[in-house]
Amino acid sequence: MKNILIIEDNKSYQNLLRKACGFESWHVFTADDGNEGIKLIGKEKIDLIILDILMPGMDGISFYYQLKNIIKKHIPIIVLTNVSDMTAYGKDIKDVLIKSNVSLQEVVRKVKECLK
Amino acid sequence: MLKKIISPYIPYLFILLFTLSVIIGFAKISYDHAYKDMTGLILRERRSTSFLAAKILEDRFDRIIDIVVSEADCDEVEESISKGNWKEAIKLYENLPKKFPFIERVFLNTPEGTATAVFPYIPGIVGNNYSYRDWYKGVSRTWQPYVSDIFKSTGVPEINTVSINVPIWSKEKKVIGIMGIQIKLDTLLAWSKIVSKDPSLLVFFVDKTGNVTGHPSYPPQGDIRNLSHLLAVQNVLKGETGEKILFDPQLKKDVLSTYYPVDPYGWGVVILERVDLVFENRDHYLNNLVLLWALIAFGVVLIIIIILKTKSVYSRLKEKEKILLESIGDGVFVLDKNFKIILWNKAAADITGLKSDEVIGKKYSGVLKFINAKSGNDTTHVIEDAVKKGEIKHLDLNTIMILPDGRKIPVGDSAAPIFSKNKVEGAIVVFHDMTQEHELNAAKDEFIGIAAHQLRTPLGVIRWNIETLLDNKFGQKTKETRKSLEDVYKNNLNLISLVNDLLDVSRINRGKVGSKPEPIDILALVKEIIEERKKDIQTRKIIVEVPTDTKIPKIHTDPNLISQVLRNLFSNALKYNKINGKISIDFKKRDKTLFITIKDSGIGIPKKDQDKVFEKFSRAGNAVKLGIGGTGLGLFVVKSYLEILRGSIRLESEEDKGTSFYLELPYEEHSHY
Repeated sequence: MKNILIIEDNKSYQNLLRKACGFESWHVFTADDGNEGIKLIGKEKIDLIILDILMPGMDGISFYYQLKNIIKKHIPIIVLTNVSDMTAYGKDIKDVLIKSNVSLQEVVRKVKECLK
Repeated sequence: MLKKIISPYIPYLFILLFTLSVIIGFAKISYDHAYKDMTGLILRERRSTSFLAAKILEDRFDRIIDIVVSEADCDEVEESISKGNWKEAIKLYENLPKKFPFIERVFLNTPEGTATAVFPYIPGIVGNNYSYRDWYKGVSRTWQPYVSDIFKSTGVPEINTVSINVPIWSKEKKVIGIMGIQIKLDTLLAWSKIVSKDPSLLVFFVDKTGNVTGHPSYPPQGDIRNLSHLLAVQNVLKGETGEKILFDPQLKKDVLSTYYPVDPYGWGVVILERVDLVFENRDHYLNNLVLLWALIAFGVVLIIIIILKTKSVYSRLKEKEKILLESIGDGVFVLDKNFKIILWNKAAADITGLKSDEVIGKKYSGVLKFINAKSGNDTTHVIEDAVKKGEIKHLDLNTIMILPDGRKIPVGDSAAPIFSKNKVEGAIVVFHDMTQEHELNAAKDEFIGIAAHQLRTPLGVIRWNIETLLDNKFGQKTKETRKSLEDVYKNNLNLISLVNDLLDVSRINRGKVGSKPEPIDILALVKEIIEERKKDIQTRKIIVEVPTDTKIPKIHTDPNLISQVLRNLFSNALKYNKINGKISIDFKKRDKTLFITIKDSGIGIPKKDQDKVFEKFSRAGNAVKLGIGGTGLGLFVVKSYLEILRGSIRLESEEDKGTSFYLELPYEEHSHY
């Protein structure tokens, strides 16, 4: 069973994503910001992260750099945001999706592609 | 007050006075010259006349003396006189008056002056002694022939006469008698008339005492007139030649007297003429000369006044122009045809902080630089283009003016050529500070950006929730529920699309859109776009034609921008098409430019809307009427993105027939591909 970490401050998105991922029989962890995400990564083995950018506390970009440079873990990330000027591309960032511009099924499909 | 009115004209008055004094100077010189020349000529002419008259008189006297001398030198006469027979002697001369009509009488006298015989005879003469007479004194002085003064002869009738007397010599060279002839004064009058027939010219002779003869106004007979009181007469009797202007109390006029002495006889010739008549022609000429100069002076003064007036009108107009340009709230500067700044108004100085004396006379490109804020391109040349092409040029809205100290001011401006006689003589550039507008626009764009991002979150939540509801995994829905959900879903998607467009526009306006060229397969991209819209294509039964040619180059350009461009255009071709319509996409390459044509068979764009469709929020009238949704931002984004990619777009369209978009996209060929 694959472990998916959703770092998203908006509860609606969190729930929708959790539900959709649950249908795919993945184990879903949720975090409300980057700090919580970092904590969870220390405790659990995470196979993929769905990461929001604008969040109170630690934002998505800071989380990404912390993960890459301090924790030094390489976990594939799908950025899911509503900020269209997102330019933080990196090796672990598999895709950047605009929430309003993709369907939930497309998100699930991308996750599936990344887990293969 | 008066001083204030006059003072601006003082330089002009000086010019006028100076010109006038130069003209008057020339006129004076020319007048004096003409006066001197003409007077000299007239006087020389008069002197020649007087010389001629003197020579005539001298010649006549000489000839008469010759006659008398030869008549006196006669042996028979000598013989008769020696015998004391004077009557015999006089008889020998009886034919003389007939032979020489000017001879009035012939006399014979003793050497002592006693009259001995006269022919024609008159009583009361013979026996009288005339040694008191001038003629006797004259001839007896040296026993030479002598021309007497004018005198009244003794005897009846009394006549005014001049006598010529010569001694009669014996063989022993002794004076034995005196022969005299009297000449009628009428003869002398005839002589004077030889000189001049002009009635205004009075020619007359004077004897040694100043007695007058030959004067046309004085009859030869009657009282003998003496004019020795006249200066001219006095001078000529002194043997002098010359001219004198004297006042004639009788005529009450100035009279010119020219005189010439007849030296051998002590006589003189005087010519009198009224000064006004003598110099009539000269004065006439001189009057004309003065008139001519007056006309010249008048003409020159008139020309100067016209020139000065034109100049003052011109300078007043210029002043007015300057005041107008100074008063304009926008910055204005004027360039001559060499692109040098010749006018710099107050607003220009206020905006730039450069005073007019710092920039006047300098080439504008040496003072100011203009760049496009979006592309960073130097647009300084736009002003020169306006002058060279003679067209009005507007600088791009995103123009930034760079000052010599490096300050940057966003400006909006236009450059218009100045024509003079259809030739471009310079340019007028109007600009205004757009800092506030830019700040306002930036704030607006930022607001739209933030607002749109905030809108996306709930829109995304709605979208996903409806997708979840529509998914049968969450239970079956009634047909009505499903239809309603689909409707909400569709409208939500439209709203998302509007927000996306607004975000794009906001990013374009803020200059946040950059180009990151990457090698891309344009044909694959087009196929991907078609694949995305497969469902819509099938629903509306649209035939889509794409080239099968695999030789289409893999090009080097920004994938996000070009895909957005093609996506928007394809979306339009689909949206505005008719059921069973057609879309054809074609590519051509030439000189590192890719030409893309996207042609549809849709509703077309009305002629009147074609110019505006690339503007923000512009929608074609027929599309709005047919209720086809759209934001009016798609083509603006297309055009803006193509500009960033240094490409261009144009369209051809006919209502109800369809629209063709023609794109030109310069690219770098990618060799690794």
